[in-house]
Amino acid sequence: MWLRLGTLIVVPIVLLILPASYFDKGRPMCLSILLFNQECYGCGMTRSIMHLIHLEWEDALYYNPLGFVVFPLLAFVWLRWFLQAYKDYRIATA
Amino acid sequence: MKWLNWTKRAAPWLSNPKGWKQKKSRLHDVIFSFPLKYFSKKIYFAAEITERLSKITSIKTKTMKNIFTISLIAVFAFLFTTNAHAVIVGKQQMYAQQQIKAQGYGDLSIDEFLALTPKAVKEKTGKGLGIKGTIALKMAQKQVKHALENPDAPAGKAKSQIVALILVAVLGGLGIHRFYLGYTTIGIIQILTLGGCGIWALIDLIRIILGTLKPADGSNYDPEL
Repeated sequence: MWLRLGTLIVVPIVLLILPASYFDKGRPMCLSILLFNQECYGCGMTRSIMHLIHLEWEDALYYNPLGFVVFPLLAFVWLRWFLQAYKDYRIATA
Repeated sequence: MKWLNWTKRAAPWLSNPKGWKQKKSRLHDVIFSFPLKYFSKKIYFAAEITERLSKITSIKTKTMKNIFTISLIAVFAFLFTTNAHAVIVGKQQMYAQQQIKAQGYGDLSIDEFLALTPKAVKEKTGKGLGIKGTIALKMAQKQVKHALENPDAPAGKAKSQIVALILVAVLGGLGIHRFYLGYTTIGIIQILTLGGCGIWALIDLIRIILGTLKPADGSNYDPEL
């Protein structure tokens, strides 16, 4: 329980501490790029969201415009995961 | 109309097109009913067509629905494999070139230009790119990359044997490989006959492995792709 709760708290903090351009360099691992040399709709999502949480709108738009759609949804789901994990943690410790 | 039942339960007025206008509008209704209204007409229309077709051909509605879905997938695959969006891209590229000239990037080398990000531009010029500029930069970089990868071939013409092989193995029953290779008519025939009852697709699979089934324009496969 505490492991899940801890992960949900620590991961965003670590991502915020890392520099925004941390994922920018390196080889993409998307199958779409490896097989067809063609970017799919998810390519650049990590970089886009990484720039979004550092409030760099233009770079986020540059790496993947769909990040603006995915990030609010991800934040919502993350919050629900967190609340559920917190509930479980409370039940386990009580 | 069995498979519309869930919509009836979710929104009773959905199955009654004339009832839409009579509905009293509260604020959230106004906000949320617009897209539903817009799409429900189409859903209703498609459902009616499926129902009638299934009566005519005496195929079950469920089977008919599946055929509808498959043909929709095929249409999307067709749009994906052809260059239907070339007109839009062309306009964006024009805009990108104007932007690059206007913002004075003419003295950059190709590698420097490809490595540009909005952040780098902001550091260099002291001015942000904005939404339009960012998209223009991205489109321009894509165009340059594409031109670097295929210096001689016209855009999107070179075909890969491996891609054709994957397509015929996975989607061969729908004839998607024929669309990819440029045989549009045969592709449509193969969709309608489910890959020539599977036998034609099997023959195509062997022909693509052997390399005797070539792209429609008579060119060879690109060995590097």
